[in-house]
Amino acid sequence: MQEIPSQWDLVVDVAVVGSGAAALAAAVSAAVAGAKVVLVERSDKFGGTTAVSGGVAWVPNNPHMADVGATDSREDALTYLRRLSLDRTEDRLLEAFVDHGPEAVRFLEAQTPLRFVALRYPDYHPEFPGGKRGGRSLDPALLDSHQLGSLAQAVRPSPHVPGPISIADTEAGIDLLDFTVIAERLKQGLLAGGNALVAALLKGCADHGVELRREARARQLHVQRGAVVGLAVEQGGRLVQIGARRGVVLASGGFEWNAGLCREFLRGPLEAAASPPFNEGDGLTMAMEVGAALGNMSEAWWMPLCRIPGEEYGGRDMYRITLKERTLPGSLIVNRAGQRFVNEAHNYNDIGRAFHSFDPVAFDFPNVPAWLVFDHGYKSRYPLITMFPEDPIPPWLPQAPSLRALAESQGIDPDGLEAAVRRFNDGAARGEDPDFHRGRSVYDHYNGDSSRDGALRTLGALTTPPFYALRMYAGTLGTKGGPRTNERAQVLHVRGEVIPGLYAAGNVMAGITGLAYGGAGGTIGPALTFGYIAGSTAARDASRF
Amino acid sequence: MPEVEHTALVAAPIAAVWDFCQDMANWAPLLTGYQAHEVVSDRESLWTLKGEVGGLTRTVQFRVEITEWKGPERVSFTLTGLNEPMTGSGTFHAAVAAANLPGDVVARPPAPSWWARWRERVVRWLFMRMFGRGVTEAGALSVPPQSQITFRLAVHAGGRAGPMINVLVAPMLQPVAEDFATRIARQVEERYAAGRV
Repeated sequence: MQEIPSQWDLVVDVAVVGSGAAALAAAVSAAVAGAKVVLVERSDKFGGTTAVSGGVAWVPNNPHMADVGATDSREDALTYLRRLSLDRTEDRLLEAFVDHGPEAVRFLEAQTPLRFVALRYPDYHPEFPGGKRGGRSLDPALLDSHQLGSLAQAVRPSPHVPGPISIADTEAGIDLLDFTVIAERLKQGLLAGGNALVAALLKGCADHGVELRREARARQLHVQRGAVVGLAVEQGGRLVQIGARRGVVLASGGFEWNAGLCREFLRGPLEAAASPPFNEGDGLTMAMEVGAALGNMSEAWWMPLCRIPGEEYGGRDMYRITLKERTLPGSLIVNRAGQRFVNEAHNYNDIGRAFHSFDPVAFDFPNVPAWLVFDHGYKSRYPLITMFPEDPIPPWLPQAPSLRALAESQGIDPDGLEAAVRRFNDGAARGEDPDFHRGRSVYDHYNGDSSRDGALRTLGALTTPPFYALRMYAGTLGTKGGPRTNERAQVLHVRGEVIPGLYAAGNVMAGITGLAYGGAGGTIGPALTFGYIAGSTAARDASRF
Repeated sequence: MPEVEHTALVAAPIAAVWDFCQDMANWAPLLTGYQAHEVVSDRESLWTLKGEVGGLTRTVQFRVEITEWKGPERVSFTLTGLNEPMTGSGTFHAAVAAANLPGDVVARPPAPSWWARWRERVVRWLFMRMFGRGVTEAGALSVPPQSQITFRLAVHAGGRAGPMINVLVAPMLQPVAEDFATRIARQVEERYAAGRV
């Protein structure tokens, strides 16, 4: 444990580590409560994982649900979350999320330029008790970056969302393949998605006097008489000692870019991450150092990822998320035996879990590696990652005139692949998937081909050569294990009691939903809520010096 | 089509500029994002560049075709993306520095004697050894410019995403042109000062 410095370089009431949704919500809520706040971000851009995301927040019973004709209740929300918990979550944390989520939305909309739009996006298990077919997922409205002045340049750009576009645009009928719309928005300086969410909260922080520091990496917590009273931050080539009279909020993201921690803790193979490569578990390490109890450490927000060779982000290999790619008709996912192993159109978090199946006899993970296989009909109808139907086939996309040849070129069992496609095609002709029930849930339809009906939005035969194989990676959007907290976002000691002065929110904390991903924005909704709880609670905590 | 131009002054005669620029291998690595190039023929080469747009770095391959080779003043070329729907064109234009042009008369200084050339090179060499560069920190030349390089570059992203890519790429081209022209100028000066020209 580092000794308390004889003199602080800076003294605040609340210090916030990180700059994603949880951190920014914590900082602005602490500042509004009257605290002097500093926020430290280790990279050269603000926004963390949130900034590179779609920015959607899943908040049950939120104040905008009526706008899309949806209704909700505390009971429905808790019923749904408990159904997804598999007895691996704490009810008091779920209750805190459901009770304070709507309040956090109202607060942030009142105190920052953030405005949310409710989506018709179904929950990820809409047919479960308490599940909804829309309304719980909130999309940040477009934001004019000119509001931020020079601070706009400090918002982390997203490699996944190249322009100011959002899911709300799709629901509003805007053709996102018309890039003149996006170009016009770029010229106007508009932000959308995760960038809009981060920019709005950042503006709120600036307006409420939060001191924002970039390239300031928190390294160690200072503890005095059992309470966290400050932290050491690497900045400008030296250690800056920051005293935090009322508390430190850890909101520094997950540990998915720390190979050692992933190997030790995660439940299965992790091949890639779609988050900024700065999420190396800084907050987790600091929390462990002061004796924090850990929870949910084997879990992450899973996502099958793909890759375009040569693409990099933050100096590391870049992996892209897959959503429509897995859902549109004329495609399926197989393992190296050529066998399907999951409903490809299902939500990414739960599909990601299927990559971790273990074969006890072969003693390996049979679904790693896996491939998205599709035919030329699919290629000529739908966009794929960054490719449009009219684009030439890039050299990095393997193709072959037959399924057998494709399988042989990729190390997939040819007999297995031919059999799997034959069976899938037979089912698709009947509009059903007897093996994995693809197309049965309304969720499966949402990202499918809207020109088709029912299960056919996602089911379609692979018949037209050439055939293609895109490697799928067992990936994540970020881990969700870390220091356990109580319902006030206070970090718990391994012995059970609260560690005074230490709070956690977002992906750094032990995720309150356990294995589950409630709906689109299932990461950011709890992050905003617990960030809000952490900031407002810390601001009212006892002053320790 | 996003298009930019930048002129850098060079403390070396135009002949030194041309001597340097004649060989693509001299200046190719000075282009921002340069990864590799392959000379196919006198007129054609294949380039691999890494470019960053919105935080995302992609590797782009271009076919570069020389359309005008008019030493020592001008080289023009066209670009064609091999793995991205991009096209473009550019020009290097070397000239006697504007500061060396009294009025509207092109005044070339008389050829210095071998002693004067040797003395100048020694002074430049000493300067380089002492300060590591031939220019001041602000980028201003520490000795009078003798020539100038103007680099013009136009790039156009086609395809469906073209309208968006062009908006994103436009603000990045100017720094690329500035850096490229300036790096070439500094390299020419170093070689000239070291007597390698």
